[in-house]
Amino acid sequence: MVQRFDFAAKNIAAIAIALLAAIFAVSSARAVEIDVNKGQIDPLPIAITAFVGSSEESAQAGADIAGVIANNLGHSGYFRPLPPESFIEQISNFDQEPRFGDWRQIQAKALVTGQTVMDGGRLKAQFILWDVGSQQKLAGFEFATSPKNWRRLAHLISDKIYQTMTGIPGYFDTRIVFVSETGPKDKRVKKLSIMDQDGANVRSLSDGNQIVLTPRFSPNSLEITYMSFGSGTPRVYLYNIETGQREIVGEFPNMSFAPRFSPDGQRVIMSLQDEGNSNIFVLDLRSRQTQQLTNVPAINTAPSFSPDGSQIVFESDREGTQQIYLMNADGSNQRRISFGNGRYATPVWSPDGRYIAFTKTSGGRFAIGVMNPDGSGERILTEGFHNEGPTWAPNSRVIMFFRDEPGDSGGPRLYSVDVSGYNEQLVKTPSFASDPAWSPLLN
Amino acid sequence: MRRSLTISLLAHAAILASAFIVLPNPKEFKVEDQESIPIDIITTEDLSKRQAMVKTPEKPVEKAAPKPVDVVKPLQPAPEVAPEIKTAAKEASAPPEPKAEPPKEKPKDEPKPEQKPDEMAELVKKIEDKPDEKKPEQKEAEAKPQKKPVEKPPEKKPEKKLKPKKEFNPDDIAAFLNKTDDKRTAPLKPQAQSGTPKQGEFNLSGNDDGVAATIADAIMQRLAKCWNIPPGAREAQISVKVHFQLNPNGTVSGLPRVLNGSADPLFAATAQSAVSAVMDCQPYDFLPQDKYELWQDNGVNFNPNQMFPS
Repeated sequence: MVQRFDFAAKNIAAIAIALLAAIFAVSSARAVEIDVNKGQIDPLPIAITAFVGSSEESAQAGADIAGVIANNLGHSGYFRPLPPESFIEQISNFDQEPRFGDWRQIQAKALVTGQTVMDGGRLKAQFILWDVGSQQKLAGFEFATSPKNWRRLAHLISDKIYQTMTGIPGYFDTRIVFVSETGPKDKRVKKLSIMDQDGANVRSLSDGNQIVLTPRFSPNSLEITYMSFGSGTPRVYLYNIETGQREIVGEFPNMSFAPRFSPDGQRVIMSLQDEGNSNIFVLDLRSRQTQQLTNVPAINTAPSFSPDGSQIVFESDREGTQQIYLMNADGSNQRRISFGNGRYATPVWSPDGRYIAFTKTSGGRFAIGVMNPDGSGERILTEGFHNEGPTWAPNSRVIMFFRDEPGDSGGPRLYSVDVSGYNEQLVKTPSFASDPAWSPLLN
Repeated sequence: MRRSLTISLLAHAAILASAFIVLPNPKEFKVEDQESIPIDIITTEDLSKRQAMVKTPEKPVEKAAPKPVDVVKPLQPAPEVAPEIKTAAKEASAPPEPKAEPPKEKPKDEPKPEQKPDEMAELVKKIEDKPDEKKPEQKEAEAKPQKKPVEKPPEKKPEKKLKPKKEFNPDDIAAFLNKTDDKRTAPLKPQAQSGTPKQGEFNLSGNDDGVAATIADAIMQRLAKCWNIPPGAREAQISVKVHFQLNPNGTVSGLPRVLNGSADPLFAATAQSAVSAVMDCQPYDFLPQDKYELWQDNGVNFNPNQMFPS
């Protein structure tokens, strides 16, 4: 019995070995076929050469433009601009093909060459983005503007490079509206201010006589809405950046606050105070009709539309602590989506609809995080003594927020962080700054 | 009991053994199924007419000589051939002194001529006794064919050195994404990848069986070092199929072709990064000469999304 089965076992073994040999023979006869599932995620080394200019003025503009581009791309965290001192080839003729060997030698993967020309009082900038490995042109564009707007040329070019290399739309040609804060902590002067995304071109939009809070951009980027109070009741205002025109949104007996535009820019959604409670209303800017969306004896506030306008995310303490809730745009189907430890506030839907950014308080610390719109996949991007007011870059990759510091000499400052949680950066402002709001792309 | 155990053991062994052989075998790369779409290079019409210059093909020399043996001789009469020497020095220094090699970490000051003499002298000393020396000026086309692809420990070591270079490790995704404990500052753990071949597996001169798989693995390892994955592609469902041909000396013949396509700008960026990786990895001179037919034509699937859970 045992012997018989040993024999059978031997047979099986022999068959198995024959089978293996056959498989082996077949597999070794194949040509090379490869799956690559791994790669580098380090910032891409890129060489940005000073744009060539024929006159002194255009050459200066060319050098400045290259500097702004390098700064933009470096801050994104996806690029590593190589120091110009390391360049072997000095580009002096835009029309001549670069010596790729020189660029490969300094490990540049991508190369930007350009030229600036003064053309009838306008500054024209042309550039080419080269792939050093394949020696191909990846992109080339020409932009023109008045010379004093040269920074915008640099931002537009940065956006093109960023998009070409990452596959993600750029965000450099944008502005930030924020509240600049000066003076001692107990007597702060808060001015509505605006600047380029990189902190340049700061200017004030208000005189500081009234307290300004929570500015938000309209999708058309010319208008902002914010909350302000001087002597009277706090109100939500509209402000046109171009004309400087200002108006109150709606006639309400009590305080209105936490305004935000709808994705089409035609409506403003906000909270209205009602004795100890507050509820969410939407106001049509054309018809001036208001519609009440929540009616719960609790604090319901910080509403934010989904990019398709079909849903609204907001915060509410209806179940005891502040949590994030979702509802349809007409107020139906209100449901809680945040269930983690701690209190959740100021939800903001990302422009691509993928995430909801929020502020979370837990154990006396403030964190900025993101979650999926169904409440799953929560992850914390940054955390500390006091972080607040997340706002999305138009490409949904970067979040700006403000962080306060303890102590009398401390004050709020703006920071940006990649949606992955990496690459946290201080955004330089001339004074303390809070409540940032990121504009859509300007062009 | 005993016989059933025996049968069971043998059957399991057979299954495991066959799985071991079959599974690592990559999927058939079906070139013929794919519509061939050449890469569209985005350039402005306005600019292209200005750029009508003739492209002088780049000498692949700088990248082409990672072997010490190719470089030594001309170094003594050096001074007047400064540029070549610099390059030569850089690459020559690699194999005998692996620490210097990792392609991305070459010291920036290399181009400085002052450093040359010493480096050169050292190099020369190190390499002098090696056979098969060649001049750097020689075009690699001449130089490569005689190279022995056999037994190349120097190729192996640089790879280890590269590991601290934040290679992506799927096991670290959780840490990568959630920073409750502020792991932001902690670099991704540079740990050994499970797929890294053992020393022996890189010995491409051995047994014929499985050489194709080993070649594929060697090329895959190389490409993973040269491929900069566009940030947007890291979470997207994208796969780029690239076909390229290699010359016997390990250089890429022409440009790699992208075989699939999509209107998504993310795809365009990923496709470009894949082409760039294939070109950047040149020369593929670590592959066995006598098995050229196995690596002459290569199909590669670049799958950035497999690094992240969907």
